[in-house]
Amino acid sequence: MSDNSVNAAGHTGIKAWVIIVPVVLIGLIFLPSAIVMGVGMIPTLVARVVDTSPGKRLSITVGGFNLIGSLYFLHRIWAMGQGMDDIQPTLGDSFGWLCALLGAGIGWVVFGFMPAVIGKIAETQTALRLRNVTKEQERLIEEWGEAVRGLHGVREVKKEED
Amino acid sequence: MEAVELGDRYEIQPSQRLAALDNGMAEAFAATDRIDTSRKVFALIAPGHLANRGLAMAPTRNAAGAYLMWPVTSGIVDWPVGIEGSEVLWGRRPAFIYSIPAGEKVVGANNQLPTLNESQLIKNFIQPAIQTLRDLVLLGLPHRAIRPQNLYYQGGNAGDIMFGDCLASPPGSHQSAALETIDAAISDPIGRGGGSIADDIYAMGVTALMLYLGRDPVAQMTDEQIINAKINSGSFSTLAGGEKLAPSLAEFFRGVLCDKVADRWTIKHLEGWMTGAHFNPTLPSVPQRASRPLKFCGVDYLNRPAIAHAMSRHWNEAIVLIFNSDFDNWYKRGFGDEKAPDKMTRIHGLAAAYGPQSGIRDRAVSRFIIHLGGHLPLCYKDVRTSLMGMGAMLSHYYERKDKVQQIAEAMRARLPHAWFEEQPNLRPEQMQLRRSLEVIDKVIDRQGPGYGIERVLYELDRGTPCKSPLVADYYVVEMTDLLPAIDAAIPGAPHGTLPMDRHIAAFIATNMKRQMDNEMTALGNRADDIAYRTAILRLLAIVQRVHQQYNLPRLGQVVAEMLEPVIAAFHNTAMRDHIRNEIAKHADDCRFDEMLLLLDGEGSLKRADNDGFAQAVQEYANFERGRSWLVNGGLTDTPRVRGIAHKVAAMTATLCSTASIAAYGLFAMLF
Repeated sequence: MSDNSVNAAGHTGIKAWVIIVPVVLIGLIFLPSAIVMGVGMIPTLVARVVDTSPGKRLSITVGGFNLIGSLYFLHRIWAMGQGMDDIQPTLGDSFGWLCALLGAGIGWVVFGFMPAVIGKIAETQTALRLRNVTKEQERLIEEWGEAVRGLHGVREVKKEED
Repeated sequence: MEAVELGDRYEIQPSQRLAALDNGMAEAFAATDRIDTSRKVFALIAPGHLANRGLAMAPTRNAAGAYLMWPVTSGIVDWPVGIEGSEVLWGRRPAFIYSIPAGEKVVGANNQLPTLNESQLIKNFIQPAIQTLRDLVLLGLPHRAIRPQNLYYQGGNAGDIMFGDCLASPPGSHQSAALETIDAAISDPIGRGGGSIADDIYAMGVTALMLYLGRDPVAQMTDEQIINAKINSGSFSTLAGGEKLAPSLAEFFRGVLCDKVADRWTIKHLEGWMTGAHFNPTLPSVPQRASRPLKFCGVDYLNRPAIAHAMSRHWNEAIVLIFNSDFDNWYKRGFGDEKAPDKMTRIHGLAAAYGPQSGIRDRAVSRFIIHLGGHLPLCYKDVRTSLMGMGAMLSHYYERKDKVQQIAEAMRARLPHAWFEEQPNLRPEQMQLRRSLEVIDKVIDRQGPGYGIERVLYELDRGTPCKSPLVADYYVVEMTDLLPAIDAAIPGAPHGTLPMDRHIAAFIATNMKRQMDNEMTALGNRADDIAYRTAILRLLAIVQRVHQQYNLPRLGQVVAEMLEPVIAAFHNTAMRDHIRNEIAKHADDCRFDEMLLLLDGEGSLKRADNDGFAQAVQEYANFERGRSWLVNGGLTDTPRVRGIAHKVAAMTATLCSTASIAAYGLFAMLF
């Protein structure tokens, strides 16, 4: 039991290290860029706090689009030379904030509207499948007669009588 | 009415009756010989509801040159059996063609008998009779119709006498009580059985006596009185007791009228007597007398056969009698039989052992009659029949439900077995019947087609024509005639009539050489119409396979129609159409076995259909489950849709961000 727990913990630790170590290393190497991106990704942190979905998919969606928007800050700081002094002017650019927040907003919108889109697709798919089922059942009836309905046939007759 | 043909040579005119030539139940009709038109012939048409021994026997002997009328030809002919509206209904009947006798009938108008003196009697009657009986012994065929009314002169109205037909009517069925032995006289005329040459010698003796006297010596007596007198005094005393007879004739009459068969004269005695030999006088064999008489129905009885005979004729009184102390004392003490009490107890016990409670008293009476009478016929209520005549009796009275019921009760009560047990020895044909009884015991109480009283009817007498309402008019006695008869009869039957019923089933079960129990069991399953119709087809196919008859177009069509529900029971449409086409094809060729191969419940087609159908039902049910899942929101279920949507959203965001970073990276590297 304890061995299993150790294994499970070890396995999770390795995964975490694989992600955390490179990110921390890259963050330390490109510290100004990391600070700017970290600030630009604040909407994602907010989404992470309020995210109750399984697999934290709201965070991923908002984060993805927020990252795209925050690329503007990255571009700016790299264009300035990527020094510690460049952080403040970069973060002071209101257009950069517009891009970051707009990206995050798009993430929220995509996450919010996606169920409606998928619902519509599912409805269409249901109709198509029902049509196929009916066609196959009619083929069976044509080939084997009404008796092939078995109990389902009896049930349908009863419904008609009602 | 058009003439009917018998073979290519003879024509019978159904509209021209010759009542003077009738013999018993056989009716005479005018006939012509197409080849020798100068030859005068007539036809005797036998009854259509009884077995006929003549059809088998007629070809075994030449018709010419003897003192016996013998058919020149015989066969089963088409015959008008009724009229419906203006149409004549045709069936089939056994027919015998005879030459019209050259001489007159011996019995004149008003039943007047001629008187022959001793020499005339010997030369003109006894001598021809001996020759005729000798011929019949060789054939193994008792005449059983020797009576003055069935005698003809060889020519004119005097001289040698010729015996009339003995084949067209059931044996002994038209003999009076005077002409029959005690046993046969008690029996119903139809139930006398085939009899023996000894019975013929007895009848010949009585006929000779009547011709010698020129009258019937017991004409004023009833049958019951004649039989009683024969039992109590012996036949010779009854018939010739008070007559003056020439000494040589007295010896003859004592010999041939002896009631004990073992002591009765045989052909050898007769031939010896004709050459002048003398034999020890045969003493009358009267039964043992009781020490005191028993009064029954106002008459005193002194011996057991006489009281048995009286009981058979006064049934209700007999029921009272056997439980009366007088009868008890008479039986136990009247004959000095120490075992009498045990025998009585045994009879009552056996009567109670076989059959329902309600008929115990009737069965006891019958068993007492068997015990007291010895070789008297089997008697049960209104039925009095020899065992060998039970088949004919049942066949003759088949339309009378009360008689049929009584015969069935007698069989179930094992009365024939009781009769056999009382006999000191049995004739070969009786032993054969005993074996048939073993089969009957097994089938009489079974309810399904192929069993019951119908089966008993055909088992008792194998020559009994099939009594199915469908083919009863067609005189079907051989299996080979069954399918053609059904083919001929089926167009006249109401639409939808199936070519099978209890009689046809029983007829097949009796006459097929192999056991048919499995087929009959399937035929008994009326609740399953498909199985029932298939069982009919199976039986027809078996009969057809044995007798190789394929020219049955009407039956083929009817069978095809009959099988429509069986075809409809196939589930697969394509297979159904295929089978329907094949059945139609086989119906044209009338191949029942081929039809059976297609429809057999155990056959490959049926099995494939059933397996395929089961699979299709399963498939349909799976589809139905899928439909329910879809209709109940299998794909549009909100949590499921939301989960997928969120996953898609996350994946979209991931993909877009990855693509953007990659694009930016590329941009940064290039510019």
